[in-house]
Amino acid sequence: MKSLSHSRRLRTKIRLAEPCLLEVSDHFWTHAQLAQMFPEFLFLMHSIIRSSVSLINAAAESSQRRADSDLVCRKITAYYKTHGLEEMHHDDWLLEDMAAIGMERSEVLVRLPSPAVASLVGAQYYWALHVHPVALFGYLAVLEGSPPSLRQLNEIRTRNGLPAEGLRTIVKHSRLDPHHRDEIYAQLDDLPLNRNLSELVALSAFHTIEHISQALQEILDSHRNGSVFKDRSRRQFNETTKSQRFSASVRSRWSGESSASAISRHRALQAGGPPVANPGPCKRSNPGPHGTLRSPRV
Amino acid sequence: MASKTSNSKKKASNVERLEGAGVLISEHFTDGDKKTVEKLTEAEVSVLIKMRKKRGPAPKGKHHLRPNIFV
Repeated sequence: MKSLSHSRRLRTKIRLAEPCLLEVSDHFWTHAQLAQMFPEFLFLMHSIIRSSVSLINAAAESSQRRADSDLVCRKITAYYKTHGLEEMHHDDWLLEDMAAIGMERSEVLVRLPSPAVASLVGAQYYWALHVHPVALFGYLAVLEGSPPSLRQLNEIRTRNGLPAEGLRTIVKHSRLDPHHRDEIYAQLDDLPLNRNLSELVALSAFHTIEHISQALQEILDSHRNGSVFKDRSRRQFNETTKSQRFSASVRSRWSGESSASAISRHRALQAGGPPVANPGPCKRSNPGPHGTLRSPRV
Repeated sequence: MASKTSNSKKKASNVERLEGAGVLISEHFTDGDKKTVEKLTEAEVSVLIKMRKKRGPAPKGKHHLRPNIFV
């Protein structure tokens, strides 16, 4: 009897673990105040994506070092090298999207990511460098294995009034990831994995699911505690573009500005009139586990 | 006299353990999938059970959903 392929086995294992993630991701994507949390999600994505190329290259180097004595490493080295190139500059794309919706690049780059992200990515370095670089397949299979459809993205964007500029990288990934996923699974099926390595890939996938879930949960918890971006309204607004109008409307909600004031500011912007000043700074509350995007220091 | 084997407690299968811990609903898995689940190692089963425990009981009626991770 033909034995099950590695990819099929991994998919079944991921299916066992992924309800933990889908519960929290469903809660997040259907949340009534998703628009307020969306910049935090982009920051989370950026925290992860910025590590992709270095991580994949580290796994490529590790597998190359072992290639003489390890057939699996021999087979995955070229794949990692190619995939590292494919992932290049995705963090820059995302940074551009974040800037387009009014987030400050410099603030994004200096802000501390959640420890959940450090655990998520850090574990992969440990496994790749000290155990076996094939572990990264579990991580990649989860992160690139369930891309959203364009239809889903459009529905989320419309329902929440999100600006298209904030979703450009996500839309690109919805097109790219199905190919990456197929490549991952095809490559996996070509590997002579023993039980030990197969288990390592699964544990890596489980770990990825657990920590992505945790990071998403932190965004939801931060929002529930009322700590998301509350200190962002210190700036005087001078919006002229559509994306900045979105940013302003979200900021007004975070800052506690009255709805009448927010509406009049929004109408003035829509009419192309002079920018209306933000009512002023608001007090900062507990920053929560995910912190806040900081205002420029004055 | 009862035989030795019938007296000794039968070891729970992976499917039984995972279902008992709320990790899976066995009727949603094909026989082929269940065979794969039975081949899971002790470490894999243990991590899955711990993950489920950490997040609490699974909400009902959400099994059709697929995760959306945009990375």
